[in-house]
Amino acid sequence: MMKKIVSILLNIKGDFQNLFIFNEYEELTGKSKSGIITLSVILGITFLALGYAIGGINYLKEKMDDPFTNWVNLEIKQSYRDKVTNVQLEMERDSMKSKFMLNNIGQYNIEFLPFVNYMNGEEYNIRLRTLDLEDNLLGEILSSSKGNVVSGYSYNGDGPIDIEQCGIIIKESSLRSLGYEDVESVRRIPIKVENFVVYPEITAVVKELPNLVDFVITPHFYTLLIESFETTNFINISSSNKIEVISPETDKKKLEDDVRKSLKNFSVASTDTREIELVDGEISTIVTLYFNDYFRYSVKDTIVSELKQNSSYVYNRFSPWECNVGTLYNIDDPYYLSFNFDQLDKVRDFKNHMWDRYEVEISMDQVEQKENFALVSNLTNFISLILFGFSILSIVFYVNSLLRTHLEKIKMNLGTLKAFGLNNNFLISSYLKIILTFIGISIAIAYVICGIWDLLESRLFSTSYFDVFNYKILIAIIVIIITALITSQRTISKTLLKTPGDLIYNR
Amino acid sequence: MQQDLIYDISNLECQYIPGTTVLRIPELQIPKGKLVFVLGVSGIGKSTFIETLGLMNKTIHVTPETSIKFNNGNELEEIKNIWSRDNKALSKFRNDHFSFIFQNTNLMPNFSAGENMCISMLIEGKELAEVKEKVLEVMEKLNLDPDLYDRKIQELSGGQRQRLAFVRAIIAGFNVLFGDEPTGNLDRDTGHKLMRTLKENLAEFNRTGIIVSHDIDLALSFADIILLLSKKGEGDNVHGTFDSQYYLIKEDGEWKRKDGKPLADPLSLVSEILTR
Repeated sequence: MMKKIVSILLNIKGDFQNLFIFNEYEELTGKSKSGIITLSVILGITFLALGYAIGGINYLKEKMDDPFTNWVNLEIKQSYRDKVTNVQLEMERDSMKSKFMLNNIGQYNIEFLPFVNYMNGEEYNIRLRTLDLEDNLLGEILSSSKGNVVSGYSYNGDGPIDIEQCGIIIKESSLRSLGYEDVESVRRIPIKVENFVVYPEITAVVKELPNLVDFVITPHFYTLLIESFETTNFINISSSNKIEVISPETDKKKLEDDVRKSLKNFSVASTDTREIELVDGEISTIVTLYFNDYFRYSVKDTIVSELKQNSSYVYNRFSPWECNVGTLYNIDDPYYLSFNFDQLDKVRDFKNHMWDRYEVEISMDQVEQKENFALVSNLTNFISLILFGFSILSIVFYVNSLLRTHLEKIKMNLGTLKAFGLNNNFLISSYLKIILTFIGISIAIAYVICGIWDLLESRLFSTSYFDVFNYKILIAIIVIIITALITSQRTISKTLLKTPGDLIYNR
Repeated sequence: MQQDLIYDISNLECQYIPGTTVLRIPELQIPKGKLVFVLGVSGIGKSTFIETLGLMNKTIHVTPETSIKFNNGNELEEIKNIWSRDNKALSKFRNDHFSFIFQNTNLMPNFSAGENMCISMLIEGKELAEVKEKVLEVMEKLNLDPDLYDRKIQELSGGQRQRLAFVRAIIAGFNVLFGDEPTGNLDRDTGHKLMRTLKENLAEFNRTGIIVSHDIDLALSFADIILLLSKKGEGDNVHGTFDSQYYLIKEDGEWKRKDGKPLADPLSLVSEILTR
């Protein structure tokens, strides 16, 4: 059956070629198939080495392939804060943009804000960065083609980015560190702003964010969070007879009774409840308490504290807020400028320009990281190439020496076959088919072993640096086969150049 | 007359190294359908003779005077420049016209006995099943056990291998069979049996056999023609040659010279040449 398949695949014609190829194949590979075993081992080692080299490069690339590398940041220090406007004005000029391959200039702040852990209620300060909706970087972060978005909004590059001004884009790992396991199901997360707790919507959960921040918000939302509420009206802090709390309990009747019972110093006039889904499938209840008196917001804190203290249910402050997009705020006094480059070729020139002209030091960390990666990657590629060349040499040497020894052994028989009228083309094509089968079977064995190794490694270790199923290995296989066939053809031809008489009489 | 010849040779010089002639044949006609034995001392050029005529080696030193005409079945074809043909055409020519038996048998070690015997016909493009029948027929004639067919070569004796090589040679389609000491590994009786079978085969198909041998007894018993090669020249110019006076023909059981003069004691003449 196997012979039939090989015959069809190799286009073996006639009884004699069939007989010749299979008999010679048996002879060449040895009785215990030692030839196949040896070649499989050489190929297996080659594939392992190449697999690890390619896997290593891919791993490095994945780690270092920061979609935000084309940005260079400038921290605006007090010493040159006054020069920032000039820098911005100069770099906005088309001539400068083209000189340094600059795309656009942005500004941003980095800040810490307290978030509440979903699991234990503790507060954590996590790092945010502001980002304009028009900034190219936002498109990079949300790009559907770059695979950075885990869930939520992704941007396909058509038209403007259409997201809420007061949503947040948060890193997957940061969300996990806040106690959320199923990050894709999270809809809103609590941020503590002074004594208020707001629950903004998550616009998108992403794998990576620039500047090692945990989440990104618009300058407008940032201003709402940090500026005086009296100015922005983000949270209504005027006196009112209303307060809202949120509880994971879903029995509304019980909650309404509980708040009345728990608040001894404050008389609740009426209550109202509504549902909210902070996480998909998990309903929480917002209880609105109405009083007969009007309270300042500081008193409201006391009310929530008393409720928490006296009740067996879990309550948290739920502060209604307004995004107020009627007036869009921007950052007046940014901490950083960001420069987005089309290509990084001129970054060093840009850095030098900034120093010469403004005595401003630009951080090149990301660019240097990328350059370092390129160096390591090139070195690894070079070493892989040498390794591959060495492997080809070994394989070619082994196959040819096997073939040469065999041909030497049977040259009297070859001479006899030639004397009987067998032509060189027949013999060359037959031996090439034998070599192709020999190498093909060895490659298949080596590849299967490497595949099993790949499977085992991915099961045994959390991080696998081995990658044998990729186009580079396929190219390597093709190169190995072609090289082996070309050199084998030369070896066979060299033997067959001799006349039948010279072969038979060993001249 | 010419159509009765298989080879018509004039001024043939054989050289392995250009400029060094090892065999020179001024004039030789070999009739078709005969068993020809080539005798001579070692190193005289017997093997060169069959290598040259069997197109096994490119030894023909081509000069304007050289002529090697071969009867291809239709005509006497000049083949002195045949080596300039491409390998495929040359191989086809060999396959169409020649067959060989070697002293060392040169059987394929990784083929079974049967497969080895079928090789010559398989090369012609015939199918194994078809050839097998013919092989078994010839094996029967030679009293070879049919069970041998599936045996491995390594399991056979030297004599059995020689007989396999013989079967391989005679079942092929050929006009000339060249043998280089074909019975060298066989006892006298077996050797004679092979020769009888060969003669029958040659006679049946009007084929020619050209055998190189040291066995005078075998030659005198089975040959139709004996060619005695002798030495000529001195020093570096020593080479084998063929003199028409050493062209012996057997007619009606009597050995004669080419010119028709009877030879009273051919054994003495042959022995004398072979010891000279």
